[in-house]
Amino acid sequence: MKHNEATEIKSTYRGGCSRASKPEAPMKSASQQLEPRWPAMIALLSVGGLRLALPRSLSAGPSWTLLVVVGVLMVPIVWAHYSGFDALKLWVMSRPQSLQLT
Amino acid sequence: MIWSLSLLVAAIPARKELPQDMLRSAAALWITNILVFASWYWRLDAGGPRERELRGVHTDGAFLFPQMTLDQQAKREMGEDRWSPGFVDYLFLAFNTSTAFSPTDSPVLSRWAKSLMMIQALISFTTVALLAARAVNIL
Repeated sequence: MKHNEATEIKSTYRGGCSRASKPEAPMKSASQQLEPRWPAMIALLSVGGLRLALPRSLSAGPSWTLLVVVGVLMVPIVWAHYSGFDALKLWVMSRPQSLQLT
Repeated sequence: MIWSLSLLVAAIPARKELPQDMLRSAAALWITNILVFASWYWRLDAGGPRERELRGVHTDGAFLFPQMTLDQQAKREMGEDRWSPGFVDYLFLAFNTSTAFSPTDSPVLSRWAKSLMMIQALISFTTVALLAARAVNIL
């Protein structure tokens, strides 16, 4: 690693999160790599499944509730993803789902 | 997750739960902690997966992944000149935070990410420390 270049790269960061700079123009080239969503979906479903491992005294409500809620919320997220409704996916479904899991 | 963890913490001194149940619950909560925070990092870093895809090359984010510090020549030789982090990268980050209680290979750059990592490490530490204390009969 060249130190100067790393320093230069670092100096361009603005912190990420949702307030990161917007992309200037969508890149639709064939070389664009689309990030697979299935690992995240498996992770979220696993969180719902892990809830089943908790004894009744440590969970609020029936243990299958979270798995069902995650599964139900995932349907519109997948639909929005493949239909191109990114704003709906981001603000209506994805973040509330993470909050609910936390 | 936080509700269940609170109940687990409350249950340890009271010795209400069987040891097997407690161990299973703590393991489930520890893994849940990793998955939930990996999901948060994946969704929030650089505006989320969709914006990262639109940008093409990942140069602006809350975490300094090792690939981001390589020069263009090295990236091209490795075939990763358009590298962008995926869910597994964030899962690895979350796993390291829960096991080492700190970031390992990817320094944290932004404040929101530092705050989330502190919360994640605290939850992990609470789970592991309380279990260890229970195991040696301190609690």
